[in-house]
Amino acid sequence: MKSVPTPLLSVRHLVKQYRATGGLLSRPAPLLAVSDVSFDLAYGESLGLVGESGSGKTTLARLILRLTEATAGSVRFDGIDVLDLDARSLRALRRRIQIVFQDPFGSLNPRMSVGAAVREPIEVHNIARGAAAVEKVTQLFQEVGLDPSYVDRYPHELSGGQRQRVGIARALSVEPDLLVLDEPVSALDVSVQAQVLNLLLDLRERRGLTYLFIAHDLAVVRHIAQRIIVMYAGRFVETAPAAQAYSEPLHPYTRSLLSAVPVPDPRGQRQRIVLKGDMPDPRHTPAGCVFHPRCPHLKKDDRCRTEVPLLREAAEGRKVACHWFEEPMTVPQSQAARHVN
Amino acid sequence: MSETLLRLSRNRRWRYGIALLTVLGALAALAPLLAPYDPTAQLGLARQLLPPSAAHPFGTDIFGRDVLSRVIYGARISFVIALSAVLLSVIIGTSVGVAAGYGGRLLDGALMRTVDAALAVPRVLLLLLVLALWERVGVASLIIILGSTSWFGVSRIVRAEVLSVRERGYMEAAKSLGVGQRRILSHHLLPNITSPIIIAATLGMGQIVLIEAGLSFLGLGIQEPTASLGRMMQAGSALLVNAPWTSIFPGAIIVLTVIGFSLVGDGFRDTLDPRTA
Repeated sequence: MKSVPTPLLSVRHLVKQYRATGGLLSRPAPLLAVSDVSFDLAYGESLGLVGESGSGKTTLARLILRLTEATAGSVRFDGIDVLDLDARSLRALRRRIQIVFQDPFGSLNPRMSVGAAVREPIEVHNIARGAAAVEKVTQLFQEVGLDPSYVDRYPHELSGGQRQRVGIARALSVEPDLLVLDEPVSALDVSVQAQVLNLLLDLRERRGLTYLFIAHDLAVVRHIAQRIIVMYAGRFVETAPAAQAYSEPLHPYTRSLLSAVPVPDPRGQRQRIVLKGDMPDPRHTPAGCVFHPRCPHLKKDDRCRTEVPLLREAAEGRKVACHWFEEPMTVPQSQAARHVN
Repeated sequence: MSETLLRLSRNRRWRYGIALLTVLGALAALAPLLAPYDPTAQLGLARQLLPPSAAHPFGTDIFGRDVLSRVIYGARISFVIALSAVLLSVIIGTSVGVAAGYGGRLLDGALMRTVDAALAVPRVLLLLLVLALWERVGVASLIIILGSTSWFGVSRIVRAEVLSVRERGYMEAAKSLGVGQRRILSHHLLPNITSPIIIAATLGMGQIVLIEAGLSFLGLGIQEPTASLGRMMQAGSALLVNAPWTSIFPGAIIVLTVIGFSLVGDGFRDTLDPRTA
């Protein structure tokens, strides 16, 4: 028997279309940044959202936070219709959904000490005032592994990793339920990335947080996400439990992404799939499968060029948007080929 | 902040400018203590148009008034007018600039087209027009006239800066944290647009000093017997050959003041604005 708990976050048919202004001579073409995506996020779950730059990951995050307005669709957070909230209720909701930004320098006000930056939301939301607020800032600094004596420093005096810890402390200051992590480590050195990822894992456990973790790199997400959504050109192309997405990716795009992840074992060579070309211009997305111009799949045919593949159930808890996912993608190599039945 | 001061103090132009302005500012501020004579007192027929001497280091003018005392008081008025007018223009210019940059496309268009129109009219012409409508020009009205006709450039600079700062990550971060609109403006936007305002204000000071002197020279600014540098130069221009001290000293003070503000403004620009440095 499978129980269906109410999800913390429920996104349905979300669309974001930008009205692209055309040039003097070119006709304005609408730009579809996020195209009809739906997903649920359970309490305490950790969901990874993966895709290359421009795939619409950040736009999706900003839609959920209402930092930008959706064109169509719905976002429900704990039963609340997020897209329908007025300014006042929206500010209240901000306490429950927080975001850690990609750029640890740009997301901190250079004229504000980092202690003041963490303290601001505490006071704005009346969580604590005066000495109690200062005390809370100290606790948060300790929790994210920053020396509390740093409260009077300014962002430019801190390293990238330290600044990102400040960003995390600031997001936690309002005690959110859902933390959206928009590529929180991609601006950091590899050694620092691991530290910050470990911190995020600790925090999730300690605080029972729900994560929506965005990354362009599968290697980063695998440590933190239980489930993974792969995005391409504003669409979901595959969703799968993290372990399976790694062991047997179904969509050709996921496979190529995964083939870019280095394997620690020198004998365990993975077959490299190098994609040609770039992501399609979002104003002129190709007909049929958006991925078809770059798809290396053996079976690619006219159907791929004309018929949009739906995101359909491929296995228990897995969905994939590919006409040919059952078929082997490339000529089987002795050890690299994986058949999915 | 102390780091900025350190960098400023390493800037030679800024250092010289500040030194110059400190001296001139002290003269202006301490005028009642420093001026040897009452600037409007006519010291008698025997002391008319005396060349510089120990008793009158800058000589006396045609009415027998001490030129040094008048220069000191004239500098005082120039400083008061420049400071107040610039303050006024910065307040108006910043408000308009922030409103245009942050208030949406329609407001932006309306405000900036108005500014364009105002900038298309030569400033002196605008001033002559306004002054022609004014009955009697005192210091206060001159400040209002100068201040309310010199904010156009400031508003443009501020608007450009707002448009850039608006898109920075910390603005969105503040919004996503539920910080209110007003607090975002006062705590996140304004502190990050101060540099161009400081630069514009400093350079604006020199301009106002010049314009005020020019208007007084034309007889439209400060009226006699109040000491004013422009007015003194105008009176002295007729005596340039016979009594050059009556116009050279006020002229020198104007030049030094303007140089001082230009040096400090350039220094600010070099250190505060990395794009033009």
